[in-house]
Amino acid sequence: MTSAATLLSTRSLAFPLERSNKLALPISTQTMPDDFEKFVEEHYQAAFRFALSLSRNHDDACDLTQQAFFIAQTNQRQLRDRSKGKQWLFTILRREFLRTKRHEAVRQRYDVELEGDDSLLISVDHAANIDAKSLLTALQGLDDHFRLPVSLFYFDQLSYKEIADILEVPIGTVMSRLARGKTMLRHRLESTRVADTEKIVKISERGGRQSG
Amino acid sequence: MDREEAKRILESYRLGGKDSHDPIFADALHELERDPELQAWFEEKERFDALMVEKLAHAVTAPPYLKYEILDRQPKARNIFSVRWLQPILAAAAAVVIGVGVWQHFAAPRNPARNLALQAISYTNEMPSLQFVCFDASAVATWANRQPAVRKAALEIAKPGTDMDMKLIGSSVVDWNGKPVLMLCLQNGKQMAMVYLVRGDDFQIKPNAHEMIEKDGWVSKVSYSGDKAWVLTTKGTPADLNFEVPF
Repeated sequence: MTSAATLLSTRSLAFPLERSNKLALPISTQTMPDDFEKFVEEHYQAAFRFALSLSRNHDDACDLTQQAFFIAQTNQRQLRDRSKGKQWLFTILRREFLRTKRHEAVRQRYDVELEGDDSLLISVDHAANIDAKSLLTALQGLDDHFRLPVSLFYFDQLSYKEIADILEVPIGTVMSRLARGKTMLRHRLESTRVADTEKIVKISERGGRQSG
Repeated sequence: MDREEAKRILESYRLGGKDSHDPIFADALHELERDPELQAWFEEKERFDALMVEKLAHAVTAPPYLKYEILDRQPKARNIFSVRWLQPILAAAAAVVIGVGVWQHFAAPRNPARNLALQAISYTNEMPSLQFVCFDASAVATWANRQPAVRKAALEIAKPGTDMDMKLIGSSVVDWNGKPVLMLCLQNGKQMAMVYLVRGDDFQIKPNAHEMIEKDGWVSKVSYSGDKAWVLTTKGTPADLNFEVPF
């Protein structure tokens, strides 16, 4: 097919068919549905892990993750720097967790585990034999103040600055909590290892007596 | 900085040297270089961190359904009709709209010929395509008259004259509001014009209809002949429509 205007230009006819503004379709920059799906795809695993660190309960973590993404999409305009999307999502997660737990008494219990005695810390070689479930149990057993920075450090390898932003505490506090939290974790893993070893010894002793 | 303080700071130092340029670690890293005991501790710490990262990487996995539940729960646009205080305003607005519609339908003066002329200007302004182009006017007429929609609507045209100022050079069969329209393109050396041929009753054009309008530098004239309405449209003034249609 030939446009009348094309015909005009090729034949130099005096029929100035002007290009209509109606044809200049506005180009939409609103591509949030696709972006959001990508955003969910990229971050839902990490968000769930952090939610689990916060709530220490599988179902609560699922609910918390869903709610955080819901809030994130509703308030997407607040996110100026898209490279900080994950950090922003984690902050929402934490705030939402605190909001839902507001009615509960704030626990101020600090683990009073021994520090400074390196013999009570698990060695790397022994830690290599600890299974992931025991490791998670030890991590989840830490108090909130230490569990959250340690989880963010190991699960997401976030920097102390990023952790400070998410948890909304000073960077010095994060560094101290990371140091203490990691020490507590190694204490707990060592206790688990020793307890498991004692169980094995007892079972083998019992087995030995029965067979003898 | 003593060894214990260096340890406290270095516990935040990430694997792979990610923080090597962060000045907060500078003193502790400097201490590390000159303290063998601190070095041994740091190596152990790095091995432990690497082990934890590796073990925890796959220790927690979100349930497979979670992603779909998140996507299913995207916020919906708020339904304006659910806002209670807006309901009376919306009801009043709806009543006004319905009232204006009823008034327009039964009482307002209607001018289908004018509407047709405006539609012709608007359509021409959007650079309509020509389905058939030929500088032999007879061939264009033959093509147009063979089109099924033209034959069905009895919009055929007579054989074009050869001694007219405006020559028939192209044609299209188009659809306006579900009604067939035969579009004919005329030109001479200086001017180009469109003729839109429709059935009068398809557009409620009365037999005595005659309308000429100007808009945005365009001029369009509707006339009626033999059950057909003719709409001549060109760029310019009414004087530019003073030519004889060649068919």
